[in-house]
Amino acid sequence: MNKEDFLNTLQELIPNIPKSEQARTLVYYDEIINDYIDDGLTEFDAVEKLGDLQVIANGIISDYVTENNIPLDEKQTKPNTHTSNKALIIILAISAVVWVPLLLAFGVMVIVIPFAVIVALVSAVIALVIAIVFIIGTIPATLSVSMPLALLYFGAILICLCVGGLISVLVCYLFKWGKKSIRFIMKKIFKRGKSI
Amino acid sequence: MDIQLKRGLLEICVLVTLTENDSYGYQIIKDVNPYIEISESTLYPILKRLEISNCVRTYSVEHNSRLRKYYKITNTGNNKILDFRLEWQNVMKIYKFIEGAKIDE
Repeated sequence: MNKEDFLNTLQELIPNIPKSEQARTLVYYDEIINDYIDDGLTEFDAVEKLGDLQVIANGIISDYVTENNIPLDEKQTKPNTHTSNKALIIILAISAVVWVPLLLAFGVMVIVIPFAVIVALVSAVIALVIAIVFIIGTIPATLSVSMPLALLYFGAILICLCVGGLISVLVCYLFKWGKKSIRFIMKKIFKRGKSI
Repeated sequence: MDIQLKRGLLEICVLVTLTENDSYGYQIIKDVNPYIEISESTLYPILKRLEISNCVRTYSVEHNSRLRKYYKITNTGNNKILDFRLEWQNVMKIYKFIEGAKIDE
């Protein structure tokens, strides 16, 4: 492999390293190879002497990764993470005024909403069943031409249908409102968590 | 040899070669190699770290119609060598203690 091939391949093996860093690496190896050649080696031998390209590339990448994750002065960064942990705890404690009631409200809602919905549903079903019973009851009353009784049954049917219908609509609203407010509170808690 | 220890020693050895004269990559490898094995790919990150931590400054000199990067030791670099010596006086004390241990072989 000649110098040009070596440098081109090396560059291809470190594509995720910033361009400036790539260039710096290539300049370094270019110079070393040239110095070997000046010292009497052939271009081929100079490249051979550098060793396995993949190993070189891996070294460059791992160096780059460690350099950018671990700052030069480790002593300085450790207390920093400590203080930020402390700050986080303090912020959490202070913001408890906001998030504790929110959490409580959320908990109450989680218990109360399904309960209310079930009660409402049961009431609606009961009302509608009564209405159906009365409808069936109206038939013999009308057949026996007892007008006052038939009218009474008819009135009861109307009342039960209205009550059942109203409760059904209410349940639908409760569902929608419950979903919305749960989502809203979830978002609020989530955002608060994120901003800290 | 332990990798961390070797890396630390290599940094100091590279700085020591620069106390005599400013030097360049290939020459540094030749100067350090008799004492501690160093390859081209090991030297590269060391030079980079020394440059980032201001232990060396660099400049380019034209040689055979191409540029060669020279490294010059700075005060920070000199202090790093002095710090290393101080630290190793302590290490030597500890070593003497370790050496004094009577172990049946």
